[in-house]
Amino acid sequence: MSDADRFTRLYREHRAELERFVRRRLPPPQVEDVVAEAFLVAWRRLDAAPAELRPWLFGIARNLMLTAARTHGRWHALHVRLAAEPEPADLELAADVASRTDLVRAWGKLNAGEREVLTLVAWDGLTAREAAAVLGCEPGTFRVRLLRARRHLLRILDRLPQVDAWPERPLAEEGARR
Amino acid sequence: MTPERTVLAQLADLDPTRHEPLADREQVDATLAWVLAHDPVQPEPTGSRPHRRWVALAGAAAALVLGLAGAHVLPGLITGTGSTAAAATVPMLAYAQPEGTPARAELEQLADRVRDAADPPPPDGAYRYLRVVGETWAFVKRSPEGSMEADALQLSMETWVAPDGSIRVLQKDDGIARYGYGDFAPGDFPPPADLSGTPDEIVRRLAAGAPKDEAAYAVLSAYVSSVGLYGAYPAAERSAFLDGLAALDVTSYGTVADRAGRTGLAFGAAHHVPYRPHPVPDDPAAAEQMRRSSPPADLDGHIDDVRVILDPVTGTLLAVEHIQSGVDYLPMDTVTGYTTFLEDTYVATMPECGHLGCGANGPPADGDSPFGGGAARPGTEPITGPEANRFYDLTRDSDFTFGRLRRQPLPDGSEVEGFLRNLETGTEMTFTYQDESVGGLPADLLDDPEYTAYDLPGGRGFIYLSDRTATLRGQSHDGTRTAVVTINAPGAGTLANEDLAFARDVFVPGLLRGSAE
Repeated sequence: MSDADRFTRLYREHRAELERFVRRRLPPPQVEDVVAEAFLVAWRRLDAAPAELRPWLFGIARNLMLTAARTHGRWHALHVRLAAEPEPADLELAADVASRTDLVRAWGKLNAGEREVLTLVAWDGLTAREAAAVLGCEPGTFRVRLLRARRHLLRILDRLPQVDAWPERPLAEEGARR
Repeated sequence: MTPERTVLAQLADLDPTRHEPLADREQVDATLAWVLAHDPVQPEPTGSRPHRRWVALAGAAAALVLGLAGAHVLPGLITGTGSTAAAATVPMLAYAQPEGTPARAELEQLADRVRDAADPPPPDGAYRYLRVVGETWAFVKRSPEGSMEADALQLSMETWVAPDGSIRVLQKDDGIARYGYGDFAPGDFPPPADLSGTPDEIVRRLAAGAPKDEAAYAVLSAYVSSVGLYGAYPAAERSAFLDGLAALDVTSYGTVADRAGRTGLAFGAAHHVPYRPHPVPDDPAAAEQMRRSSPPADLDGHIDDVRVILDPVTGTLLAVEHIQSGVDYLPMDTVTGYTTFLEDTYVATMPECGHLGCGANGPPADGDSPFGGGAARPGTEPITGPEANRFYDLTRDSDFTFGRLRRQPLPDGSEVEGFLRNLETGTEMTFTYQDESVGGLPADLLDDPEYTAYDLPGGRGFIYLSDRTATLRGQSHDGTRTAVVTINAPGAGTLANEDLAFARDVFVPGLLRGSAE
């Protein structure tokens, strides 16, 4: 099998998941550029490709995004974006809606590093070992980071005021009615 | 399912790509074609190696003269857990108010005293001379399983500032002038901070747009950097600066003796350093090395605290202390570096560079060389272009860089002679090389009893070794190519093994391979 054939097979197998990985972290207009650049790096390093391709490809894409972020003076962890309008699985479950709302609010209180750890598992579906390879740390280290991030998220959720405790209308409006 | 598992499952529902279409088939195929249209092997970078000496000096300047010294980690030898490193660092100074109090009143009082202080008489010399001494710590893990170790580095920096703003620097690491003198043109460093105007204008200018809660740290750092490079400001500007500083979130730590034994008033400001992820090398082997030696990520970031110690009467800067808190591998409030400002005066002349070399960043003497490397021999001609590339290629994977590469006419031909310096260790190397025009080394050199013979690819080698120098002689088997190489350790140091190995196993054999390969 020629190098071009090997690469084409790699590309076809991993293109969608790499695109999703990038799409979760960048605005849509920038996605294709990073995906293409990441595969170009992979093409040029094909001989060095490890057995586990997915974390390797994700790591390449992450580097490209970090480099771009640094170029623009943003040194924080990659900003992982949430779905603009999260759609609950069952709209009739008010409690589910409340928990999703809380989750979005709690998500906003996590730091960028914690979000990155959580999304590598929850969205990208990586194992701890794969996610550790993406971030360049030991699997054990990643597990500790994941545990801390999850617990932090839960602590925040515990402390959020209940949605049903919120006033139905803005306070100023209620006052005006009286 | 545990609450932690549940929350992960819920997070999966928020994945933005669940409801967004991926690229269509046409786009997917176009990207594949675009990638495959590229040469699969990335072209080797061409041109001269980066000016690593500049990097080293600039880094040291950042660490010392610019007053930004602090804990750092060595590339590839990053920290682990434990507290043994902190035990090796110096203890906290004995501040009169270790817990700190708001500094406004004390800064305003000091500003009043400085306002009344008289500036010293105008200097005689044309060159401002500054001397600072400090110490900083890197925290390293020697092996993946090893504990963290503190690696102290003592730094001193002498600086001469000419009237035109050009700067000559002599930096010593652990007492060794590893990089020789460094010359910097006006504009290579930021100009002195502008302390003109009202106190409010001064701090706004020095804060450079920093958020309000970071302004004090930014202002103090900018001030320290400027004083470190260009010396103390006149009393009127110092007092205005202190008045401006008094309006910021600065903490007073009271009277303290600095590490040079001088009594001063300590003021500090802190800022939060956020978590900064590092890219993972694309090369799997390098990534594995990084993974094995990386510390746990400092997700919460840490706090950097900079404390200046000011003369209680004149307000001049005596010292800077750097303290970190919240670093996972360090105890709270660990001193990670300090700088003492010991001399600030004027002298009549700049020092001669002498054997240390000079003009690290001046115009190249030969082609792309980043430093002069001593005077060229009379009657020699620089070698440039493709002919020079063969020699430059020999140093491609080393820290040696050419400072001179010239051809010397001889009665029966010519020889190539050159000068190189290892920009990391400071080791210097000179060599001469002759090819077909001369018939091998003279017999007395081949049979010199002080030299030890060794095998080298394509020829014979002879080496004479002392602690600080080594001379190597080599000759190709057919006797048509000969080389004589001498390497010297910098200052009073011993010769680094890796430099000797480079000369013996790479450079001499490379010369003897000739231009045919």
